[in-house]
Amino acid sequence: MKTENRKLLRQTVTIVAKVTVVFMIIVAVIMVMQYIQLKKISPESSTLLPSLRTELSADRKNDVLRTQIRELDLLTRRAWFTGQNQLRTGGLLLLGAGGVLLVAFILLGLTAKKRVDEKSCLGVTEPKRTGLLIALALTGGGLFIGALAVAFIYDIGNDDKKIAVPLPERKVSAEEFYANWPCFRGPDASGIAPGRKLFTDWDIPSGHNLLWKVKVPRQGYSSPVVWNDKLFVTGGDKKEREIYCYNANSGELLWRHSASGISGSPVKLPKVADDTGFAASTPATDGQRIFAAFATGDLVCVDFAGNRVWSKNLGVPENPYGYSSSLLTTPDKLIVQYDDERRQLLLAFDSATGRELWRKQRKAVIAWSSPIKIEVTGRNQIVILTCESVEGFDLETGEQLWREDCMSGEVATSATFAGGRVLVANDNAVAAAIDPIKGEILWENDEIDLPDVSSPVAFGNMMFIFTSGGIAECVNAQTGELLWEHELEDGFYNSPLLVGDRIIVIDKKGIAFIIKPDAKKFMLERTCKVGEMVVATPAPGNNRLWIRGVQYLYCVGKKEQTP
Amino acid sequence: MTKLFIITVLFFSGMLLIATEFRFPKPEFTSGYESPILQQPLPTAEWMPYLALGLLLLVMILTGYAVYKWRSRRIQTVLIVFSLAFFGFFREGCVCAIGSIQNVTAALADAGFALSLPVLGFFVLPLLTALFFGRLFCGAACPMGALQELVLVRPLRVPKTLDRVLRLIPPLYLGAAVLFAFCGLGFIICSWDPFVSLFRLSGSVFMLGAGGFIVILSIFIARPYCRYICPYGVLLKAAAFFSARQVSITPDECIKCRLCEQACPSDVIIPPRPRKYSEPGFAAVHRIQWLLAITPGIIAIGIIAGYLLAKPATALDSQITLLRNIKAGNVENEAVSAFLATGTPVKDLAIRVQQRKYKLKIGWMLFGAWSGLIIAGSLIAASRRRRNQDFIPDRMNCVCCSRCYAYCPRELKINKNGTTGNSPEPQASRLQPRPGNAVGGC
Amino acid sequence: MSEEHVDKKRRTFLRWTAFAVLVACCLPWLKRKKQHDTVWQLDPEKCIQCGRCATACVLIPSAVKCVHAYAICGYCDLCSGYYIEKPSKLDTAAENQLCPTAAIKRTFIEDPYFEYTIIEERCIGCAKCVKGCDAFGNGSLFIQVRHDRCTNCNSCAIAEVCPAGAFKRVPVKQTYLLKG
Repeated sequence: MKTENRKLLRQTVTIVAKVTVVFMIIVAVIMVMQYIQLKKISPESSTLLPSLRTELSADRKNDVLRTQIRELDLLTRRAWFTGQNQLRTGGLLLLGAGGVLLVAFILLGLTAKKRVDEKSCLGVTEPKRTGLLIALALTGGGLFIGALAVAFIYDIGNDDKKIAVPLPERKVSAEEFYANWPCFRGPDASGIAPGRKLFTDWDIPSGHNLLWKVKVPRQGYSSPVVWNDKLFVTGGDKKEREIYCYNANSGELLWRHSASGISGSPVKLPKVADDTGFAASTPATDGQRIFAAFATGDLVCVDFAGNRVWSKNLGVPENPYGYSSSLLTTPDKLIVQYDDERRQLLLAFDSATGRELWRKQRKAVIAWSSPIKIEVTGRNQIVILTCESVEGFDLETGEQLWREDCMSGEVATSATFAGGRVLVANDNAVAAAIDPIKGEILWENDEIDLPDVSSPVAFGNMMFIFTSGGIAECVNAQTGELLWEHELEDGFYNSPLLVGDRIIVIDKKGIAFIIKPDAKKFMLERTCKVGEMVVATPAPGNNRLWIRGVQYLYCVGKKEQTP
Repeated sequence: MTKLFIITVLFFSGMLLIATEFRFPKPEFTSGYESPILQQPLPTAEWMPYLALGLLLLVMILTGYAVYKWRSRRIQTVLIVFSLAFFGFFREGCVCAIGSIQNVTAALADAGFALSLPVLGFFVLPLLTALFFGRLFCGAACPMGALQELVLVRPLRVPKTLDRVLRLIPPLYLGAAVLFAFCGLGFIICSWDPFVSLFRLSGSVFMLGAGGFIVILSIFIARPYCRYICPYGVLLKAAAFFSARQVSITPDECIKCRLCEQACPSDVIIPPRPRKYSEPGFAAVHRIQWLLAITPGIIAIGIIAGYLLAKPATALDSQITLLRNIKAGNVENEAVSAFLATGTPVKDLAIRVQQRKYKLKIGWMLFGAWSGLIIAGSLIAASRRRRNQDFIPDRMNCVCCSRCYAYCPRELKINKNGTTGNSPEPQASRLQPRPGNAVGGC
Repeated sequence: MSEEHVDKKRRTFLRWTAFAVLVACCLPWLKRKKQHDTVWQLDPEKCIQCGRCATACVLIPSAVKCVHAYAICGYCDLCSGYYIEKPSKLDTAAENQLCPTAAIKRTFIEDPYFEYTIIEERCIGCAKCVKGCDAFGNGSLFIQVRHDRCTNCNSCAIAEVCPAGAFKRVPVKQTYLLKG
């Protein structure tokens, strides 16, 4: 190649290379800026739009905000996607420019003038090694000292032995739990209220020792539960399902919480029978939160201030009467018996988070009964009734421990537990006692009148049954032999409670019978009047009693003598 | 066996039963609607890695011919561009020989780790080649090397002392990578690879920036990554030490003109043994004896440093950190809540953590010993005296770039006479002769 | 010359020793179970929808995207994966949508059922919809590594930061871990 041509080529190539370098720098800078911009508007991390959306759901009629959200949403998305396209194009441009630069370099190299220095010869001396050795030794030493420094600096506060904080524990103690009335039929849901005295000196129609009386806004057959000074009931109809929180001492409605806005909640409500309603399931509390289930399959957890903690829909139940199993709490778990025609589930949730701890899919026939908790040989069991069986499960794992097929018909009563025996009684089936350790039937008796709603209760070796037909019976819990029976005027839907050493049971007309347990005969101590129909089981406190009638909620207790 | 099978079937059918329980059962549509089928796009063809392995072998064979037989840098450049395009931009740099170190280590540590044939091939083939023919892989087949090779325009020399100090990095990096992969702490070579984000044209700003920096640096300094970072280079170096063939600068006899010494951008050409030593021979021998004597001491210090580092380094282990967070009651932590949600007993985790801690401790001590060995080795190597008579490339550090051929007057002469090769018009020196060397009188 | 010769001989011996060692080290590999090539995938059962898939991937947008298991979808009108917690109206307006990129298409099927389809080009893998669907629905929406995009990095950048340890290598034959 001629010298001039080569020079010209070199000049051109040099200019091209320079322009390319400038171009690459500009593209790179634009790309970096674009990248930073893109990170900022990333739809994933954007918080403005979600917060505006929440604002709008609180204020649904704000059309200005609505338009603003729509515009901002479009803007953000457009910016994000075009930014991405630009980045991709930028990358390709840089690559192309790099290629051009490479060709330019190769051309420059090929056309360069030969500049080989031929004047050289052998005259090498061995260089001194000392400097090199010192440098290497210093580097090596530096590395070790650095490593030691890192080890010592990070060692502080990194010792596993120093961290011995246990897993967070719940504040509610077992004593506090048992001193309250957290579930349907008491702390273990077995109808037994230990450590308190039944208050018996009252009469509501005459106002004698009536502390307060309020009308519950929405109707429900669920029973009241009480924790310290708070009382919770549920109510519901086709329009809304709610939890009400009252001051247990004054009857003041503290808050009401609507179980609405739960995703998965059916738009079309399931059909329920009139005498079951939407709020037949009694709520339960763990001392920090209140849980409630409704006939829609909605399960909500609300804190004591009325704020929702979690909620879920368990699936709309296919239930001919309506879902009515009550909830059961233990100090850290929520147990739900969730039976319908399609599936029979026993579920355990973490009270704080609503996380499902275990789920037991059973093969059984739907029941309207509620689970109870029993403790045998140091292990907690959950005992449930279905229309064909009585079953025991381990509380911690959900493992099925035993099952006895002794039930039939439509079972709505729940079990009770006394003297190491699980006692059950339901109409069209039997009265029976089961040993929950071996899972064996101890005795069965189907020759007596049996209840179809009211659950049995036991004191010592006596099991008491109150039927819908108005018959009170006492059965020997050891043998199953009928000790006595007594006919009363009206039937019972309400379940009897053993409070201290007295039994209280209220009939459909609203007459409360206070009975002294006796193996020989029906020993009525006194009767008190409620004045309206009662289905719910009352909640006994210390010298207090909270009763839910069909319409009103009453609190009876010793009135302070006003001078 | 049958029993096991039945149990498995029962287990799975049980799972199916649970799986079919949903809050909202799928509706039975009356309009004849049928749900679409979920698209499942497949990954790149399964044969692609095998093709890549085949091409790797082919490129290395051709490079061998280009370097030893044809003595042609032009053909080599074509191979370099191909490697950059195929292994780099098309295959997006994964899996590469450098990263495969970790796969092999992980497979050694954990019998359940799947090590596919292409990955093993990428690890072994370059080493086998180096064992017989030197570092041909670096010469043209490695896309990282190729990128650096192509952009080298104005090579500057790295001061000898700095060069020797920086050369400590690759073996230490290799040790760390093996330690991390063995203990299941992740693949650090891959996480900190500066080139792969360039090949993909996407990645974090930091890694893209690091890649850009190294590319710009390699305009002036020959192959900075290969010489001062690449952990695979350490293995290749060791293999190349035994190589049967190595680059011979001159096609026939060395006239000791020193031209090649300036041509080598990596500065690996060893000048012949000087006539006169600047220090008496026994002094050098004495020093090596001393260094050999203190080597066990240096290794012991390394082991102690490793032992001490092992404890704070447990913070890098996700399982150990998880257990710590669980013990501290740090429920807010996502990893903790995710772990608790699985329902695995904390006791199981604690047992696993105990085993890992033991493994980590041993690993760190071995790493410390390795570091001590490297430092002692480099000290001894720096004290060795050369024995060669001619100008030859250091067989361990030479990356077979074929640049020196064009500088040898003998090659030029033979070339002009047309007796060998198809080497082009000699490339002009882009190197200014170093004044100090050039002036050395005869 | 003889010194050089000895050196050469020694080197040859060492070379073949090294060769033998290297080959011997590879032999146990042959005895192993047949090793398939693997790709990255995430286990939807372990996923906690932390959102890191959208940000940690080396690709922008991420190779992880939402997929929909129609077989287990309830076709709900009020889809908790599609709508924000309290939508003002069950329509397709921007203010009611949960997806930040409007990547879910809602189509009317028959009363009262709607079909939800993922528009993959728009999906960034943030898993917001997955969280919604998991919390209140059937969990039919979930995220997966889409292998038409994934570069199958040797060390997956998302796997490194996944708090649930949901990422794992799966054989190429079984590329997706699907629900339903």
